[in-house]
Amino acid sequence: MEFNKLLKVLHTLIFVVGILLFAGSIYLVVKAWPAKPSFDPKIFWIILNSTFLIFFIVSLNIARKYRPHLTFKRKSKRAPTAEEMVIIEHWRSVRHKAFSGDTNSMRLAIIEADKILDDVLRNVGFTAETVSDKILQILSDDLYLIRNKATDAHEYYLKLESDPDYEVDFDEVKKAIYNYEAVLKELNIVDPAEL
Amino acid sequence: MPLEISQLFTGLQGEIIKLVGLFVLAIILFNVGEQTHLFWRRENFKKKLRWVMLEILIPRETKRNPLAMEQVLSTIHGLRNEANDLAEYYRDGEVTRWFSIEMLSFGGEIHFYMRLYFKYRALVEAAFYSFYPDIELIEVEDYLSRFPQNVEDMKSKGYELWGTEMVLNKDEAYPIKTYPAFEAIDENKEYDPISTFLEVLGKVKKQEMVGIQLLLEPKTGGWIEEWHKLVSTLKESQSKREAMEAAKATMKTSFPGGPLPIFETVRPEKSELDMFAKSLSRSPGETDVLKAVEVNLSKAAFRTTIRFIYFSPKLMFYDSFARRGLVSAFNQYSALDLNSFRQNYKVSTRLRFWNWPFLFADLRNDYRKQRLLYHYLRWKQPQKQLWAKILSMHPLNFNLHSASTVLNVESIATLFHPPRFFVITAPHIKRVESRKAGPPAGLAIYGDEEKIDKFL
Repeated sequence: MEFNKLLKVLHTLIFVVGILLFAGSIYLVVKAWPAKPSFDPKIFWIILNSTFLIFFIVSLNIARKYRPHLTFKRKSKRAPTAEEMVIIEHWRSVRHKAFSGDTNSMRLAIIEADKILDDVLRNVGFTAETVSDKILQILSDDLYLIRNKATDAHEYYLKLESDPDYEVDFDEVKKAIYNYEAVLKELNIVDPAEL
Repeated sequence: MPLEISQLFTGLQGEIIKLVGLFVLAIILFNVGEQTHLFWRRENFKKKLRWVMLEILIPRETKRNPLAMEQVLSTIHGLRNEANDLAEYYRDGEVTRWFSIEMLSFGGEIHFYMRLYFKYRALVEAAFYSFYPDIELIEVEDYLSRFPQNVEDMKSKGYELWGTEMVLNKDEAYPIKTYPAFEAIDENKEYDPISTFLEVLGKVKKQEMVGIQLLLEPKTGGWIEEWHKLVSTLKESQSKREAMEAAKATMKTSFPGGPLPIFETVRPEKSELDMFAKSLSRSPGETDVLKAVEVNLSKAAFRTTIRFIYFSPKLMFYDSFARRGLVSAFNQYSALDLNSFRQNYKVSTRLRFWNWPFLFADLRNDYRKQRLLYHYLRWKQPQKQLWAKILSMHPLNFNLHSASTVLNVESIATLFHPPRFFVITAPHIKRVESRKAGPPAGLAIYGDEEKIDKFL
């Protein structure tokens, strides 16, 4: 507390000295007018200002290094992890099966795709038992895309699974596979452009 | 003759204007240079501080009420340092060393941490052990290494964050609702406000993380003196002030019996007498507020920054959990006539396109996240001086609004204390495994005198 007062006194003192110097320089100019004074007070002030300026620039140059470094790169592309590589490989085989034209392969593709979705959702952190419950755990509205696509795809899977005689239609399979793929894409696991 | 600007700078007048300009420039350059120098020295001082990270292990049963925590904090307040001469102020850039109390939840497992200047460790341990004999403070690895280090890192790991800082709604002189309000003689009517935090933190899902940081910097300089004016206005009652103002208004405007003011001797009516009588006494509510403010100002205070951060995998991210759930836990402390907490909206990471200046909302939001994360990872107090704030600006994040509040030990003890024994609903807290007790008195000790020192 005492030191703070001292600091205030010091600052006031510096200010008073400055005012006195300023008054003195005005006095010099006015007294000698219209002739020039023997010592031009502007020179003194310019020298003082340059000293302060140099002090400021030097301090600023050092202080620059202590500024917080916030800059970061946005949307950097990263290499897939080993776990994701496995999923990508698996996904390739699923796509291959789905577009083979054979109804049994198509049925198998949908079942495998659902298994992948199940694993992926579990890895991300949804702990419910079935895929339907896991989808229900997605609460954020920013993720409506994932929620809707996963719901649509999983509905088709449930139809296939519950009824062995259900006739597999290629268009519907295609739609379901694209829905699964959209979810994987949203999760940054599979990039359809690279498949 | 029309005035031209070039004419201003000619003759005697011109000379004087030039001198004035140079003088003003000198004042500005001196101040800015001094502040920049101080920023550099202070940041250097902060950078060189060595910290120690302690985990606070809570005993199975704490019978002590938050008053014990208040005493601990009062003891810690005594450790404050301050620049006390010109060399310390300008050369060392000494600032008051702060410490932080952190409440963490790693997927529902709750930990309490404390971060200190390493030399204070023994003293703080002594303070804790004297009021909480069963508590344990152990040095642990810093959990921050488990956090993503910047927003890019966070996004590549598939995480999303939400965070904010809490500030007070009214002047700092008004206290929040503190622990005596939650206490009662009957055990069934006692509540511990920290249980809400524990419940919310316990509900965190397995992959998520929540961290609450309380940065406490002992307040130096007058805390009572600062609010002297407010207390004196509170001492006058509201009705007296109103009566005075009404009296002033009538004095000015009434001219009975013509344009000249004539002094009339009118006997005051009964209602005015009533008003006068009322003005002498404060209403019960006013008295309570005055009392609370005076009690608040009478205790040692800390410059406090409350900051929290919530990490979640992007798919599970549900910002209402943190934005509403955690913030509402702070609502317990609000008292309508006194003070309450609110989010510092200019800092919280929810920036929409309608926020001024309407440009690059997403990018600016990312930079807010980055700023908050940066400050969390370095447990930084907001800058005090305007020039220091300007120096630490980023083109996309000015961060002029990050602020700390001043809370006294009683308020802080209410915000953080070891949960009391009736908070049994928090099974996820890391606790001390067994109770400590001293050896039986008169136990035979075999060995030389020097060896005995080891056991003391």
